[in-house]
Amino acid sequence: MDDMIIKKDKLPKWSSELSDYKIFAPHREDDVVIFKEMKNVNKVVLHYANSVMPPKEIFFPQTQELFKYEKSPEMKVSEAELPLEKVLLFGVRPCDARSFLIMDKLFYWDYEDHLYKQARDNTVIIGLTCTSPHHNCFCTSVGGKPYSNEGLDVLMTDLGDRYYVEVLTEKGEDVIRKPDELFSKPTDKDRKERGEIWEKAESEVTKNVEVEGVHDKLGELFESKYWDEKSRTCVGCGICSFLCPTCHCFDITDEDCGNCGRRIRTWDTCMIPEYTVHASGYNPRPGKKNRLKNRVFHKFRYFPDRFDAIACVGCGRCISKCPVGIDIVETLEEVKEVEEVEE
Amino acid sequence: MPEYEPKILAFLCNWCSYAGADLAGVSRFQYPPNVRIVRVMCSGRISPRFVLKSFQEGADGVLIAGCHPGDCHYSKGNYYTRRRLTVLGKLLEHVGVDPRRFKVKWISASEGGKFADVIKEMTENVKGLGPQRSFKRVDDDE
Amino acid sequence: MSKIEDEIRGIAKKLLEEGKVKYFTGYAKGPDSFRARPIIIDDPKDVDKLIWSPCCVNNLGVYLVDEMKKKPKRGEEPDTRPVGIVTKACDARGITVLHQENILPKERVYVIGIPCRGMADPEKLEKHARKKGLGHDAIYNMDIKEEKMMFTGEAEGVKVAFPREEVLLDKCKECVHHNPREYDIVIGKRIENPHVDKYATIRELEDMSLEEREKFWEMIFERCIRCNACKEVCPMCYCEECTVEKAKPMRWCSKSADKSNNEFFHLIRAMHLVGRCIDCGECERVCPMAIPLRKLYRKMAKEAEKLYSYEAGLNPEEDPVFATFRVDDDDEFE
Repeated sequence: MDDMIIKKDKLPKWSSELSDYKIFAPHREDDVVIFKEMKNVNKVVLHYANSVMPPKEIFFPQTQELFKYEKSPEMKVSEAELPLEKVLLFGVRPCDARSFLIMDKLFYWDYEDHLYKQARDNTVIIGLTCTSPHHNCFCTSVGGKPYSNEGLDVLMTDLGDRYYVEVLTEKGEDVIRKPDELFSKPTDKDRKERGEIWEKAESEVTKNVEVEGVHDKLGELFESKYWDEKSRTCVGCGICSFLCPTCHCFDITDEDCGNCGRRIRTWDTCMIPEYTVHASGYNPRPGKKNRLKNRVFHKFRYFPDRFDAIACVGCGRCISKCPVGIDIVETLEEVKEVEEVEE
Repeated sequence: MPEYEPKILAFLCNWCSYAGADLAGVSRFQYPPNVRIVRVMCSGRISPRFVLKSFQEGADGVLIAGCHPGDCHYSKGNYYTRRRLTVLGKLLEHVGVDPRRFKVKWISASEGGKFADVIKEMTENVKGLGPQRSFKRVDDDE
Repeated sequence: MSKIEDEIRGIAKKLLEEGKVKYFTGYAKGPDSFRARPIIIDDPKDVDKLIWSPCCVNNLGVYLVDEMKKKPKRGEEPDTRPVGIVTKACDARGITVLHQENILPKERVYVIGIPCRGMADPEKLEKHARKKGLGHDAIYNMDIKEEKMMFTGEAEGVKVAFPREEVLLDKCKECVHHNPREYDIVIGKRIENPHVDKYATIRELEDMSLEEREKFWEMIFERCIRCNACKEVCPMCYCEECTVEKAKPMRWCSKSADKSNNEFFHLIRAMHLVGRCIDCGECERVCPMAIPLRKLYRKMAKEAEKLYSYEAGLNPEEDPVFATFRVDDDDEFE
């Protein structure tokens, strides 16, 4: 499908045309930008570097029911309902969109997670080019671009009073083919403008790290003292993994309330001791160093080994929000420099 | 539609208030059947968790009753309770829980009448307030 | 370079060289101009990494708790030398609470106390700098100018001033204890404590009706993602296993991050901080979802003060507020 242009003031009209979709868009709530179901188009914010929470929870909710059970009079088990509603995810940054492809690798791996897949299949993702990257963004170092269209159905670029709309998939066509009078054909000037904006955005991603070689170097550093040093100030909270668009670990627990209950899947984080503790009480990752190391290893060694992709999209959230200023880019740089290979 | 009947969970101390409730029964004082009683050895056993968990699991009101200060079987358990639960009450009010849903009363073994009155009053109040939804877990619908 | 910074370095160097401390905990330059970060150093050669600036917001007390939890390897003699630590007045009160609760013996810590008029909010600094056309890493040599009541920095050799009132952390505006009480050594001059409303943050909520308050908290508790950062940065949250994570013998709080369980978590934490929270504000600062946690803990502190004339971290000899009672305590239970 050809590219399109939509005027910004036509957005409310367009969104009202899409009433068969449940629309999720970035909202501002007390200074935090999060993706929420859009009830009022005026509450949507599009001027932000990136949302505090990545939109991964649309496909992989923080709390997801797997099944319910009831004991009376006989045992009744009912599986969780499939998320059948059509969803439109609006305003996703290209880095977050790439994260969906990374999560796909895991959730479609040896077992195809039907809840995740259903949500993925039902969702149309409209991306928004990143025009003013945050100073902690480093997407270009891990294969992304502020205007990357990987994982997206539609990519829009802000051209001031209008958006340049690039339709990438059939799913995307479904939402764009709606009333024609909303969309017009782009001119050469629009194309040129878009090119300039893309270029400018890319040049503004200043933080970078050469990830080539990190994978192999990590292999030598499993026993390194470096991790003791690095993890000394880590407080062991879950911010880095809960805010990470590619972190996908979960825990499965039962919520029991007498004669009924449910089994739920909830986000988990490898940064807390409870993540690995065995029923016996033994913990194979007893210290902060083991846990911090695991997170870096998982992203830059284990995941690439298994799926041939780095599990990091360079969104910079973990850097911005770490309470003690642990910086993954700095960590990678240091990893490359570490000299000693422990005895 | 049947009239709304609130669920009230009461934690009673073994030595005074539980005996007081017993006395209310033996003396045939009438009180509403909305109360479910959990016996604890001392009101000092009550952790704020018990109260919050009760609300979470669907209690509309929580009552805690123990010996009068000075009469504690363990001599000072209820003095600690008093501090802890006073502050808990303030906290619940701070997050918007109506104070009529959370009550602490001193009921001695001889105060069967008081026990019945407390239950009556609390049931009335909570009935007026309606079901407690703020804390309730979303999944367990009636 | 500020005088205080020099002194910190000097003391740290001396302590480390003489082997008087096991290691030294302080602040170092952070990932950008407006963020300092904690650093732990063993080698006296590294003391030049230590800084003192308006960005030293972290409460380092949390690492002392870590230290006390360390178990020596079998057959190894435990190193019980004290740990050196840089503290602001609020952090020092936190250490007092740890002493009071027998978590940290006095001889295991060497406290450098620094009278402090408040630290800068990194986000406010960044906004302020942006207004002047300066980026996140354009400014260096951040310093505190006590007499002029401002923070300063340098950008391309030019001095940049930040009016203190505009960039101060919210909690610092409400602080009435500028001077550390318990310390081994103090750096800097004593500061007159101000007369400000220390409970300003909860006034608005207190004036609301019950329904309004319920509504206010509803949206906030729903937003929580239970990343546990609030409890992990808190020096007072030192339990080996937190009650909200415990699964044996029963699970008190489900892992489900819904309003009900989130509220359970936050209220239990608020109860556990009564008379213990020293208002270092770390929980609120680190919360990625901007949950106004201080509005819970300040309320608790206010009640403890009003009912039992108790304020956290002022007197190490006093019993913790819930570990004691008075026969004539306020009784509203009849």
